[in-house]
Amino acid sequence: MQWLKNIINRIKLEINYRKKLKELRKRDPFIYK
Amino acid sequence: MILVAGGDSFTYGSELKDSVTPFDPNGIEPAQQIVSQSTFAALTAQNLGMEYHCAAYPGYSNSSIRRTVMNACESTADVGLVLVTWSFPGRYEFRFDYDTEERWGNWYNITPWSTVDDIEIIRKEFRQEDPVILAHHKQHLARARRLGITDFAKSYYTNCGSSEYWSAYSSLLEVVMLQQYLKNKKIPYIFSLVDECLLNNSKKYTDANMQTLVKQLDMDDWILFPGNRGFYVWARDENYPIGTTHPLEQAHSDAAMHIKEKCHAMVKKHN
Repeated sequence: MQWLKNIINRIKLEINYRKKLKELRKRDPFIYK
Repeated sequence: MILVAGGDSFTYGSELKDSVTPFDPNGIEPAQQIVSQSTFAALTAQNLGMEYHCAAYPGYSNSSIRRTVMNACESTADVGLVLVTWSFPGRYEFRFDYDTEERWGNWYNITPWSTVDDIEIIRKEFRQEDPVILAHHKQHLARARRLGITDFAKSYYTNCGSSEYWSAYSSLLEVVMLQQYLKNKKIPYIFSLVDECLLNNSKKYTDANMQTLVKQLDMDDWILFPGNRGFYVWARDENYPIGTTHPLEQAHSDAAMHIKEKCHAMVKKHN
């Protein structure tokens, strides 16, 4: 069952990352370098 | 006397009529870099009758800002005032172990946009189509992917870069380091910021690690904009004219008026 827990944790991390990145991009919309 | 300005695109003057940001759609930089003389930092230098030295550049993180301001102070005699406008805390600078093929060789800033590997995501963000800027980004993304920077940015933001705590903490390190440096050198300075979240987020965390840094801040030398806001948030919320993403001349002119008195007082105190 450990492999399943690992997959679930990885998915949770990915969802969290995408959500936070979306917030960061909203806050910092300056893509022109 | 010289006013040294540190910051990102707001301090550089992106999208203001008198500035040019070089883009490199072909991997070369055809345009000469021209720093704006209409930003609130440049106008402050004019108000104070000082020469203007701009160490800012678009896309800079707080780490780049600290580094370039310190370098400027070390190489400039007769600094009369340092005016720093800190950037968004979610940007990070690294010195890679290889040439990133960008403007500063091994030094490279990653932002929340550095994880993008599809040009269409960037195209969607454009309010106005601009083929030159789009070509620049296409080239930039291709290089970042080829060198592994995109993967690095994804990993960094997944594991710590997107953390509100880490972004605030790492930015505060830079702020405190520059503050201590300027105080040691007895160089008058004023700090401001583009988004007040840098200060607000750091005050949210009450653990000893964060609070030890927060306690070092000398807020007497800061200027916030009305409503305790950063320059960008203030200009955006007060509906100043904005270009693609940056407040235009009017916001800078009013901001210069807002900080004028404190800057004069700071310079006077040190003379």
